[in-house]
Amino acid sequence: VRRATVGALLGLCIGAPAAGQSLSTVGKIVPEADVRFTAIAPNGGQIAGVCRDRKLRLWALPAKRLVQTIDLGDMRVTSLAYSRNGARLAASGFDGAVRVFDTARGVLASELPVAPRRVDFVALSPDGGRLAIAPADLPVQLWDVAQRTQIAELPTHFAGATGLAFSPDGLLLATINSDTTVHVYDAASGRPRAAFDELDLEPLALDFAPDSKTLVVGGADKVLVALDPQTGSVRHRLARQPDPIGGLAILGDGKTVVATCFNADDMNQSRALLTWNMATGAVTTLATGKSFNGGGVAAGRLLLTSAGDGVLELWEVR
Amino acid sequence: MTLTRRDLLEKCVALGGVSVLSAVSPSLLLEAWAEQERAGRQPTPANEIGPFYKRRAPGSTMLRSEGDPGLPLSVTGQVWSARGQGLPEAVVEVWQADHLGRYDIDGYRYRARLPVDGTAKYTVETVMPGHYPGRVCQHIHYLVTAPGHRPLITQLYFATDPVFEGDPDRNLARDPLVQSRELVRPVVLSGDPKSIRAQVQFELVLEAL
Repeated sequence: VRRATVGALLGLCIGAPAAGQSLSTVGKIVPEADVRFTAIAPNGGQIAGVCRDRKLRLWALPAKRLVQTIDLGDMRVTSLAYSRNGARLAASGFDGAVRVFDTARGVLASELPVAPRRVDFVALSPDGGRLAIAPADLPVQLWDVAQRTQIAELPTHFAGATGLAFSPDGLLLATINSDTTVHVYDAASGRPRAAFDELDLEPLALDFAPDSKTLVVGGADKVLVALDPQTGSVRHRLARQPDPIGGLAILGDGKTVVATCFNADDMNQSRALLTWNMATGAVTTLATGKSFNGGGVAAGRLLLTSAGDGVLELWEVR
Repeated sequence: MTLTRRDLLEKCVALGGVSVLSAVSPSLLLEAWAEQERAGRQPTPANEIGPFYKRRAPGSTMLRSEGDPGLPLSVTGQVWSARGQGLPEAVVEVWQADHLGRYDIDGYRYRARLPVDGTAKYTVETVMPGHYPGRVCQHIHYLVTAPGHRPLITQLYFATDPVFEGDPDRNLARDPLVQSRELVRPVVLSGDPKSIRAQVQFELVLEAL
């Protein structure tokens, strides 16, 4: 719910072009019904949108052509996540169920009745074989999708997760948590691998670098921290920003982090969309009043935004 | 010889310590009494943690400063086990928005790790939290921990919240996050028009691990 709130886009106000990265529009999609949740496949081949008419719509890229419309019935979706190749799309619901769709055929591939309450976040491993889910205020669960069996439960000190991500190589699962911790697990077994507990407030966003060797987290502390996911040690740290970090993604170069900030007094209000070069420490503001959503960056450079006017817009970070 | 609770109650009846004025047999009434005592207390309903929990909050019970705007509010209560025993080793953490609905995420205003006394009582002196965008009701967040017990994450709401229009029973659903009427507590106002203050009692019951 929180990610949906901070992920909402309020107006488009592109800032002046700055040295380093800039943001340029690639195209727009105007869905038949207002979109509530979106996701972009990490390979850049597809966009998914859950619309207010309770239909899941899939658009092929780069054509931006509607290819599937799936009736969700009474499912109230809370989050969406693609597998790395875009072949599977997981949707979590208020009722605790998680559905996995075959995106090529537009059909339900698997349904897991996993949690006794609302599921806030879901993540699919790169090959779609593992599923991580975060029920509200409960431990994260790791599932084998094909076997429909739970592999592990990943408890924290209290409450639940505020985000989940599998590493691109499929070996690690990272969770960020309401108890302010970051944990990294073996994605096959759920065994703990590393932890980071230096944040005072909750982390709200995370992403792995394409080589799986860096994990970046950010959140209410207003800082970005790049970690070694094998040890939990800090590699780089971006000094405190004026606003909390609501979303982040690492570009294909493995060095540039794109992060969205929001107004702590009104979480619906987006603030700066910035880039941080982890190698040089340089920070560039790409835009203000804008945040991306849809599960991060696709094809190493594409960001998806949705606006109050119902338009989905695709951007390239250059 | 150790007497059971049932034995003790029967002895009270025999010695006149308890009078039974009912058509139901004294034996059945005594059994029901003992059963009620065994049942203990119902755990406080959990409510989601929400945003902006912050570690390392100070241990003060006085959260408002001299001259702080907003309605002064005292919240008191005790921390219990579900068996009805006080838990003096409990730790009560609270955090809330100020009277305008703003959380302090840079510092620790309106955040505390409250000491619990030898009888498991806690007190916090604060202000009535304000409303903020995206959230319907005024509320105070709680995280309560005690050895041997499941951490309790919950929120305290106020029957005087304008959202309820004076009738929390009817209007509870206006905030979809308020899922238990039990968390909406009555507010007692005292003082005079120049120095009005509010008091709320909020008992906390933890489940054993």
